[in-house]
Amino acid sequence: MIKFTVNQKTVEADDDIADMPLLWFLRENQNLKGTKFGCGIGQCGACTVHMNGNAIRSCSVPLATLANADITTIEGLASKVGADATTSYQVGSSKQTETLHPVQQAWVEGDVPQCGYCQPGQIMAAAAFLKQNPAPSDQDISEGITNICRCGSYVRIRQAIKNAAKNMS
Amino acid sequence: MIKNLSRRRFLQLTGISTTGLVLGASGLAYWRHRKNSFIPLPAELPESAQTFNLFVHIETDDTVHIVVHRSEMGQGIRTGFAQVVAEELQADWQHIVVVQADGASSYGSQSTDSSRSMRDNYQRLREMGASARHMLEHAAAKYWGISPDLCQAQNHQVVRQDNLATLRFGELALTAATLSPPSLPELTFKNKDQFKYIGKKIPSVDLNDIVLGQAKYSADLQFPNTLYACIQRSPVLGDEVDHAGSAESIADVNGLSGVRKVHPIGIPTSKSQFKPLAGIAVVADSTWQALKAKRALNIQWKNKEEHSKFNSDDYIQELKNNLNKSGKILRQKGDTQAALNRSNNKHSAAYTLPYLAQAPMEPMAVVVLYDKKNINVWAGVQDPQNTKWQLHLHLGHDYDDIHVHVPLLGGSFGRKASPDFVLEAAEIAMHFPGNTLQLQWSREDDIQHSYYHSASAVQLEAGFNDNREINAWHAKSCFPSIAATFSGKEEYPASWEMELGLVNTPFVIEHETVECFSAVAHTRSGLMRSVSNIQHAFAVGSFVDELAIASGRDNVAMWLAMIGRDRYIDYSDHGYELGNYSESLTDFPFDNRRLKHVLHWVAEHSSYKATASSGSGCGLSCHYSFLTYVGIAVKVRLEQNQLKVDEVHCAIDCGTVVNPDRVIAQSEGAIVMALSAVLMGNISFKDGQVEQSNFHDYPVLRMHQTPKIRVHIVNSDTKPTGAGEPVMPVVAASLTNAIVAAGGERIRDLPVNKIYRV
Ligand code: FES
Ligand code: FES
Repeated sequence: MIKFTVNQKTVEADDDIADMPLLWFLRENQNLKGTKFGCGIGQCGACTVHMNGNAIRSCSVPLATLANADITTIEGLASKVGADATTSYQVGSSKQTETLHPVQQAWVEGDVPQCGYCQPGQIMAAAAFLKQNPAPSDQDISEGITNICRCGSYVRIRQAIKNAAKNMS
Repeated sequence: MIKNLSRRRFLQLTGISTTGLVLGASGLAYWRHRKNSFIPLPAELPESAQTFNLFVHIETDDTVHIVVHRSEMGQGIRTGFAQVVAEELQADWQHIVVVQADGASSYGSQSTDSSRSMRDNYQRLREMGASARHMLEHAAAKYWGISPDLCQAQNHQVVRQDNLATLRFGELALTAATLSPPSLPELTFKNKDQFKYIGKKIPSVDLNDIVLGQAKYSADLQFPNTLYACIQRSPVLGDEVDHAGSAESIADVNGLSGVRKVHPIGIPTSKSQFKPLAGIAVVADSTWQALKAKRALNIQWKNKEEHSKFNSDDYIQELKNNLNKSGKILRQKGDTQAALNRSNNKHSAAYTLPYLAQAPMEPMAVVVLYDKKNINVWAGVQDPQNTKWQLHLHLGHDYDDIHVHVPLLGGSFGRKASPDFVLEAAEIAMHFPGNTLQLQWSREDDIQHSYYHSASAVQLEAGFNDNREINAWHAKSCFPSIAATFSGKEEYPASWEMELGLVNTPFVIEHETVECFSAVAHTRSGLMRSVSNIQHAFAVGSFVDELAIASGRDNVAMWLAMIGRDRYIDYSDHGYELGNYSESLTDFPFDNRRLKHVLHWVAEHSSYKATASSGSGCGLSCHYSFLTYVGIAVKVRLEQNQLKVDEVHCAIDCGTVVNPDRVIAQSEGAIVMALSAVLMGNISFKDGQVEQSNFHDYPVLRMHQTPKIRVHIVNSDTKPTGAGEPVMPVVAASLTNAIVAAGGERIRDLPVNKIYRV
């Protein structure tokens, strides 16, 4: 049995799925669908979550390596786990904003997402990055943020990271 | 015409049961866009298609449901449509709830392509909003027993003008539902200066869900009793599974834990249309088990000679060679050959592009529930109606028992206009009645089994007369048409593909010939953002620059000389009727002043006119596509062999803009996507198989390669035109022109990373 926490809740995984990447465990065993599958080989970052506060690409991290780890997903980043977020895919616009993480807040203010699919991963990558580097330059961001956004929202991501850094300082 | 819809009908279409006012509009021309379609379509327009297309519904609690019938893939259509309706309705944005339509012919066209959702619907949406407002005002008049002239809607209520009493929309909904909708002449519309929502930056209705990780894409929907599938598809078009040779491996995989079933799928044919490719499907208890089982498969394939020798490097050379054969002339004026023969100053150049894959961030995923009668599908597709129809054709299942629901699309860029993946999932699901079947494509599946943007070759030739004017222009284009994917035969590029940038050049030249050349298709091809505008705008924009350099002129001066005097462009004087993206030239004239304007704007606002420092340079180009005019200036630096793109300036004139922030976002995104393609985009085939497999060998742009981007929207009151695609094709030539300006080589064969590090 592999024991670790996900968004502060203890979870257990059977040893016979020890080779399963964390991504699929989160999505299909924990029903946490905010973490996305984009490439499966650690290239795109759509699956980014935090492990003990650091960004990892969950498609490439098997459960076997997670004993006692603390995992945070996009669902656990805001302080109130998206309490009012709508559950039906038909209806947009969750009403809650006030408990967003500063990175999420900056994303909202910059209207960063296009299709949105890469964005949970981008936000998780940015949140961990800002912990390491609270006042990044453009150059730092270029080097530190390597997630792919096929919609090409990079200019807004860059700006939003800088805005978040300001708000967090 | 707008009708009062029955609540039962609204419930059927949207799943929302209501007590309030429901309106539908009718008469949106649908199949006209497809009258020459090579895609199999219903022989006749279903009668219901004439009835309604989009809906407003007002609930007694003030909620306004706005049904959006086009797919959301990041372009912001769910927000844009709601803005237009809310504007004329005088609604309060807080009460707007967007509902995504299922696939139903009642909506009119749901095909989310050709950058035309707003163009097709802007006026109708305004009418919907204005009609609902009219009915609410009349309901208030009835309640108060006064003239409707004294009742005015504002901010989600109707205000009585003589004593300022108010009634909320919700309070009026039931009464309004009993009234008949106004006729078109009775409607009044707001002026531009009264707009609260149109033309304003309104955040996306899905924004909060997205940043919270709550937005739902197909694979995020959770149903009980779900089985998970993956497919190993034939690597070469038309190949089939060698069942005898694969039997042992299939048996082994069948025995793996968590695997429910391994069985053949699809049809081996070159006439692939939207049919599943031949392959082996694995159904398991989880996606991970299915992916693992698929990896363990060792399938033997039976080669058909046709495509198994296909090598794309040779093929591109072949396309180029084809340009010297005799082609099919599409548009001709004067005697081009004679004029070229007479000219003692002529130039010619050929340009090529490799295959490209759309590679949307969300690999294809589908959920299907077959309950022995109904097939319910949740799939991020660009056209749920066509998906429904193709499911019907493929499965032979009753059309009315097929239901297609559309979650958010995690990007598409044309890929999800082909519903092959939905047909695959449904084919598998038919073996598991009562279970939900979820099909997941891997990134490898996506890169190796796309509907590619075809490889292409374009050759341009121009001759100057003795006054240094160009008086002869011969344009030639060769690529395997998308039509070949549907016919399975060698095809000439279709006239609509040629009208994406080569037949409809904006020039006034005495002698002109536009010609296309056929090619055999060895892989599936389909739509990719701006389609054949990509190669045509690259060739034309590069060649104008080459002509400018050859004749010692400035790029802008060369464009202006070739575009000629101000006018509406029309080729009817020499007998060519322009398709004009299915719009009439009266409603959407091709106005060369608008093209000149965007070119001037980027020339003025970039560093184009600054004195070039060594190793850096600025290039320009402009292009007309999807009825929109775009100018782009790119600034690059070249150090040793390393190319750096520093700045991109873009001016876009797409008529009336509903949400400027989303137009800017689309332009930024199209620039990034175009840079990916131009700098490093290359799908290559060897022995019929795609050589790339994931983002490590099919790289796309990342943050460190992203330049500064500035987008300027030209202020315009003309009808809205396309915004998602038209920026994409203009980048290539601007970039390669910039490389020349920086002292680098003229690149005619993309991608750039064949020559420079990027
Ligand atoms: S899905 Fe994990 S990095 Fe792409
Ligand atoms: S927003 Fe679509 S991939 Fe980033």
